[in-house]
Amino acid sequence: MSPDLQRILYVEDDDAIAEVAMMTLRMLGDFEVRHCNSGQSGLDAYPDFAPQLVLLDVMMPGMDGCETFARLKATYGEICAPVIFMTARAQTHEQAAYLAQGAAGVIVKPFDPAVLCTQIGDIWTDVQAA
Amino acid sequence: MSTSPSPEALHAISRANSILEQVTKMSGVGGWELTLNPQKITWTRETKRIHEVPDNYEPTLDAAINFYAPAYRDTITNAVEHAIATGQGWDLELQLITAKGRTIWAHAVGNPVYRDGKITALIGAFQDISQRKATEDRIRASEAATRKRSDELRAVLDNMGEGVSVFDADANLIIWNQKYVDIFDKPPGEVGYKVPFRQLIAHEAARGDITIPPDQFLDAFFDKLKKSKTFSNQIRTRSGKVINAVHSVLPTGGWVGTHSDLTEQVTAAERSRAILNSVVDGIISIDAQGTILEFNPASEKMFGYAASEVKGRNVTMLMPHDGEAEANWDILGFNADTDDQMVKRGQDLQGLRKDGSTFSLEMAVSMTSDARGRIFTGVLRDVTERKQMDLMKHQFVSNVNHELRTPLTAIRGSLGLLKMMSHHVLDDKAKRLLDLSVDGCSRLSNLVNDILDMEKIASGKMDYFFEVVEIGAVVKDVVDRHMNYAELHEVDFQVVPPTAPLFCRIDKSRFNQALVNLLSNAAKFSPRDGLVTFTIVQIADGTVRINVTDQGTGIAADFAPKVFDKFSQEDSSSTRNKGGSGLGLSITRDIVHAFDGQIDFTSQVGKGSTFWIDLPLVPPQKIELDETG
Repeated sequence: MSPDLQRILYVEDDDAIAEVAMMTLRMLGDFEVRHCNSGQSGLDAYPDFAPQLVLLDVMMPGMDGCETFARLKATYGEICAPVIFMTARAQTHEQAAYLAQGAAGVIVKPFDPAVLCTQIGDIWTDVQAA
Repeated sequence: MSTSPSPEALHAISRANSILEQVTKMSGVGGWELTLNPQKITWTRETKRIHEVPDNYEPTLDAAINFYAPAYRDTITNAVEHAIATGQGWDLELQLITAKGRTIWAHAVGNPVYRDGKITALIGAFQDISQRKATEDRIRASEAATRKRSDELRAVLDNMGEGVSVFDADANLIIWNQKYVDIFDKPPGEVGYKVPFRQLIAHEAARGDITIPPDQFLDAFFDKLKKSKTFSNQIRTRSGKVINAVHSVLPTGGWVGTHSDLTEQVTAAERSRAILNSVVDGIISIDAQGTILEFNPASEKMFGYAASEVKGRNVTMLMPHDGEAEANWDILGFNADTDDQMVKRGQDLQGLRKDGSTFSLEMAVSMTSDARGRIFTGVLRDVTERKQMDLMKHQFVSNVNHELRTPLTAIRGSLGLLKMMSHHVLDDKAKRLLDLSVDGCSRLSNLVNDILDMEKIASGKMDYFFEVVEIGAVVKDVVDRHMNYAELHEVDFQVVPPTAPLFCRIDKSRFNQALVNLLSNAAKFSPRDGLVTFTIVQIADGTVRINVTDQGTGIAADFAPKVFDKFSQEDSSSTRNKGGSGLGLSITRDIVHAFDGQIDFTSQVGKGSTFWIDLPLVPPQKIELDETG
């Protein structure tokens, strides 16, 4: 696990999934996690929390994950934290579209808590190396 | 006492003889006399002339008879003997041969002369009738020729497929053939020589074969006949027969009519028309220049134009005037030499309605050639609604997929966490229950994935990103990344690479999906410590085969044909226990087909199975081209 990664902003509208994911990230990854249940609340929390990485659900009512990511990029540009989409919408072309938008990686739901932190860590390492 | 004729009387007799001779010469009639006792035959000068003997010729009876042609000598001999015996004369036409050897026809008449009740002589006339006979022969020959010609004409008329009737200037029937009688179903006796046309029409009207009053029909008929040298009319009889008649005025007055039974053609055309009018698909015919010839009611409804508005105009009026949409209609670009009768299909076409709106349509076009040249007939279907339904279905499946995954994510995550956190506090039974729950979640998740894939394949929305890859390396990579299956099922995986690099054009991600389906099946159905072998080998020029061989239970022969069917699973408790959606092999087959490949298997129950994928190889020169772009 990269020692550099501590603060994760996690945007997920489904409370049950959020609870399991946060428990996993906190217990197994020892991350500091801020959960927001909508794209807008994620955008609102971003400047204050200053995350190192954003874990973003795609299908959310109102502002979806892709739009939230677009707004983050529009606001913070180069200094925007890397974004990992965590989604059930992960067909080949959909994953390709997320990566084309600039996502650092895609984690497919349902995720396996045993490997979630490792998946995030691998992506984080790749981003740092790039 | 004897008395001598007076000189006046002798003069009168001589004068009468002279006149008689003149007359017989002028009429060509000669005379003769045969006295019986003594037998003496006397010919007049004209008779001698006919026989072409000199005036001083003195005939005998035998000589006279021998002048006749041999075939007639008995006839004349019998006639003479019969007359002498019975007193009955003769009147015969016989051939004789003159002294100069000419064969002529003679009219010979003979009658007995009585004296004192006894026949004392025979007297008769003799006439050269050769000219008349020749004329008669000519007439007979001419009559025979005419009869022959007439018989030939009759045979032609009677064998014609069309009915023929000829009417004279007084509108009376003078010639007809049997077909004419049959075609109008005319009863016996109705048709005959010189039967007036008016009478025939009256009969037809009485039977109901002509629906308008006969007088009106006749007025119109003769009016047309007067105005044009040839005209045609069509009659539909009470029995439904359709008869086409062509009438041509004859130079001698009158007219000739030819009558064809068009019932079959007309009813076929009417049937076609009825189909055209009732089908729900649009049917449009155009010629090689794109001019619209046919536009059925369904097309009218589809495009919003009446047929009369589009017929004769160019088909481009029905296409959106945007380059791409218009170009798609190029399916009309048939090759006249090779594509006759062929059917072409266009799927993503756009139609342009009269109101300017566009709609999605599919079209199948076939080409035929006739006297007008190439004719293209398109069957069009408005697929707007179907496309919307497809889209809705796709969205629905996609949404259901997401909605199923959301709770599944929470369950799968919770169970995973629970499993890790409580590892030391749960007993074996509780741990087993947790494992079963996690496994159930995985299966549910895979099922959701498979259903989504099937829906995408069915709707043609499966995305493929093709690239040329070294297939041996790809297979090895997929196997390496899924070693966890081997560990899970306690089997070994072994990859046997090809002897030289082989290249295929595939979507790596989809190939991964296909191979993992085979790999996971092989692992699942293998016995503990079994070996699953992946062999990559070139089997023919241009084809590589990837074999996945297990040592598992094998596939029963009766299930073999259903292996690639959707939701198919061999119905045994051991198979059911292995899980799976029953969609994996169906999806795998569709993916392999998308690569222009083939998939199949061999199996022996109790010994194992080999599933193989054949893929077309990309030739080395093509790879360079691909790389250089």
